[in-house]
Amino acid sequence: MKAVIALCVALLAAPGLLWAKDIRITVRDANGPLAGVVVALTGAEPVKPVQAEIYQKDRQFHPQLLIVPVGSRVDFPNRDNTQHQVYSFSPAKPFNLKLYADRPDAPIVFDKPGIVELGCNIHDRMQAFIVVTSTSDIGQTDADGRITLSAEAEDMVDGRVPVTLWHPRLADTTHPVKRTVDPNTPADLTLELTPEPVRDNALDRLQRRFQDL
Amino acid sequence: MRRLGRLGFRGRLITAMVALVVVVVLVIGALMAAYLFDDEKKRAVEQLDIGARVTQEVLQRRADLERSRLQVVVQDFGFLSAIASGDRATLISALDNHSERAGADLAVLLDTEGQVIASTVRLGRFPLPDGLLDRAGNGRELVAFRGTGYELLVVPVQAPGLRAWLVAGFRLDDALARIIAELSGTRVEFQTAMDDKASTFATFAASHLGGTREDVSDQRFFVRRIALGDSDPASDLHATLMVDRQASLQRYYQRAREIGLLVLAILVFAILVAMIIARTLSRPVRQLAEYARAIGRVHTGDADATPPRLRVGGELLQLRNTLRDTFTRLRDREAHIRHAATHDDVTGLANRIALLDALEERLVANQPCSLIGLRLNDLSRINDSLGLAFGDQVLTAVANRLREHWPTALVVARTGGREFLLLLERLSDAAQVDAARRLHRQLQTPLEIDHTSFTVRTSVVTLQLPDDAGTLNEFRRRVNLTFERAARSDDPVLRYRPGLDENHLRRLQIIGDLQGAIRQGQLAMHYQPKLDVSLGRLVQVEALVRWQHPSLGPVSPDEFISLAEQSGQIHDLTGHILQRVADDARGWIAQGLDIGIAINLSAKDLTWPALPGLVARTFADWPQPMSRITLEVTESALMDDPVRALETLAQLSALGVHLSVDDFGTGYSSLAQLRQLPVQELKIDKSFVLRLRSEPDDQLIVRFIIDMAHGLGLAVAAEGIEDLDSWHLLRGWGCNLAQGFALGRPMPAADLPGAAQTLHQQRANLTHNATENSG
Repeated sequence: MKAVIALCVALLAAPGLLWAKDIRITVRDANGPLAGVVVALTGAEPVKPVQAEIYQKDRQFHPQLLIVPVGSRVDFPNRDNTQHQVYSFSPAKPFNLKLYADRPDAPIVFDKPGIVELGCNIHDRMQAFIVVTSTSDIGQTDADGRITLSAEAEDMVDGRVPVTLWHPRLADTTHPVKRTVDPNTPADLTLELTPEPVRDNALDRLQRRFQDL
Repeated sequence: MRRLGRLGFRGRLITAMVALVVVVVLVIGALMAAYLFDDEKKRAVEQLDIGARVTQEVLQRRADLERSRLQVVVQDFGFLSAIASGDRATLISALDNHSERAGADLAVLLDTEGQVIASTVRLGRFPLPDGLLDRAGNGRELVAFRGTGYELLVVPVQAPGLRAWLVAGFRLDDALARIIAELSGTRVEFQTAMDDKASTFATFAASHLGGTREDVSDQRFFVRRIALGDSDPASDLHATLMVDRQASLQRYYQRAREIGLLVLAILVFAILVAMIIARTLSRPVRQLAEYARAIGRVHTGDADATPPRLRVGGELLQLRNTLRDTFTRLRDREAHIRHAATHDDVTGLANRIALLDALEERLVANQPCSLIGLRLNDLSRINDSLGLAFGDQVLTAVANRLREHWPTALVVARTGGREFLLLLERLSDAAQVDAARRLHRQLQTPLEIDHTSFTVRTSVVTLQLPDDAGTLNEFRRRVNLTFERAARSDDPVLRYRPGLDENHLRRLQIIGDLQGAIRQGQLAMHYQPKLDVSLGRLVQVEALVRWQHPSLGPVSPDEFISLAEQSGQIHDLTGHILQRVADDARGWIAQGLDIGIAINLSAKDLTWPALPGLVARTFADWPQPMSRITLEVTESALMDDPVRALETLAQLSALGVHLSVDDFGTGYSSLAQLRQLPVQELKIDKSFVLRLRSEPDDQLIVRFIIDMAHGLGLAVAAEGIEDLDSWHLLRGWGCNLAQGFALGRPMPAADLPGAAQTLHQQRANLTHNATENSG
């Protein structure tokens, strides 16, 4: 994945060497720097689709956030001892994999940019997001909430750079939050997130019983 | 109708107790009734409160139930698929299908912006409330919708990748009303205002509460309105809870009736108890009142009063004992007083009052009786010489003897210091005299006093009643008179003689009338000529007083003067006579008659120190020589108190008046004394003169007196000359003055000039015969 991003960044950076500019963004909320915020520039350039997979293990999706370029194929192998019915009602890619075990017949092609929210019809707690992007200027903040993106001339609107922010704990996860930043100075952005759900990682009794089967 | 104030103790007690009971019972009854009414009302209000809470609770629970149903619906994959499909017909049919699963009456699907995606109802005239989604967190919303109340629940549709709102409406229907009604026991109505008119769309009345919708009114029901449409006041959605007033108060009426009966029963019982208690309480008081009345009757001499037996103690018993003791003391004291009032304390016999009472009873009842009286003649002497204690012993001994010998006497009484009276049944006159003599004999027997024999002298009188005295006054007077007479009588036993008392009365009347007679001029002055015997000439008149009493007729001077002396009126009489004579004499002297006056003085006058002064004043500036006034005093008068009489005579003599010894020859004056008297004349008593012509003894005495008087240098006057022979005898013996019917009768002053004239014409006759006789 890092290789892909690094490749994308390299490809994108090449033509605009003269013009490219690093935009430093720090995202925080009331409690401090936010890690894992997906920050993207709005410019669109063709990015090569990739092959990826989100497997299900221990009634969880792995990984729970996947960023892929438009047209990428994602497979959903089931590595649990139960069947899963993975579906999405998101307008970017609604689909429904009927209850299955092992590996679905075919991977799903995500041909439109947007946020796709995944669920399992028989396991309401299972949740995962696929960010289908049409740009290579996209990344997640590090543990200090920092990210550096490289902006080019076409990314500029009236001297500022529009950015989108997205996080799984946004109140409305169907749409990213739109902001603009000054390219010349490091930007401090804040997000309001819903509180982290208290979820003990240990499996509940029922799940444990199922696991024992 | 007796006023309360007139009620007796018992009546008051009953009235007070009954009034108290009535007040207490009525107050308690009224309070209980009021409390019950309040209680029932409160119970109804509480029921409404409960109903209100139940309504809220039922709505809340229903909402919770519906919400959980909706939660299932919005997570249904098929429903979510239908939404995600974007096909409107599919979406509406799925909405209809799934809302029906949840039991919703209407369902609307909204997107995140609040735009309607799909709806099971046409939302033209009845749009959803504004800001419904903003309040989605509140849970539920009660709205009026198409004239019906709905509960709107807003549930988010949050499928992965889907964001929408499901609004589900549940009608507030009869079933809901029924649940609330049955839980709260009230009648429940859901109402909304439509076109400003209340419209009931759902109703239920718990069957046992009764009442129909038609009678709903505030008079008929206790009502509670609970506003439901809090988000939209205009819709005025509310639940009305009602409790049938009549049904609710039914219990109160029942209780009130029971209380009323109870109050009545208690009242009757209490009145009975009060009457019994009052009777018990007032019994001793009534007994005491009767006892007091009985005591009052005893006072008037009726029956005896026995103290009542009281069942109570304390004050009432004390009162009874006090009453009894007081009554006993009162009776004893009364008996004592009565005894003292009717008994003699020395002898223990009945006293004067008792005797008079007994006698009066006999007189009033016209029962004849006999009375024997007894007086101890020398009791005062015994008292003086032997002491009062001895006198009392004498009296006691006499009394004992009377008791001993006269047990049949009606009354034996000591009626005076030394007087005893015995009242006997009527005896014949002879028997009475016998009885009196027996009594006298009994008392002549010596009395044994201090071991010595002692004899008392007694007077005994008898009266036959009512012959001798018809009234008590007569009796008292006549007994006394008889005793007085008996004391002077030789016979120690004397019966009252009729007439004795009449004299006594006449004397009393004369004494009583004399003063008035003096003042009113009933006394007339008469003058009797006194002639100079040698010259046969009228030289003096003796003043004599006459009294023509209006009812008694003429009263003799001897009688009324002696009474005046006894009654102490003599000085007034003397003064009056002196003045009358002086006035008359001044009259005839002024007419030219040269006649002197002679006035009799009473024996009492001689011991009267004021007499000389009175004479001097009366005869001041007398036109004649004072020696022409002769004051005559009796010989006996001089003897009573010779020293003072002599003193008075000396003073009179000093005035220059002539003094004459009247009635000379009847007294016992010693010649030695006579010699010392400052008198100028002796007047020979007429008893010697009246028969002078025929009695040689009288002649001797008169001649002797004349000679003796002349020898002592005194003039001699003679009175009582009734014939000329006597005159000539006296003339022969050298008597100086003479007076008598033969010379002239007493006459009023007015007749004096005529008499003087007549005497003057007879003068020759008087002097002529004398010459013959003496020769």
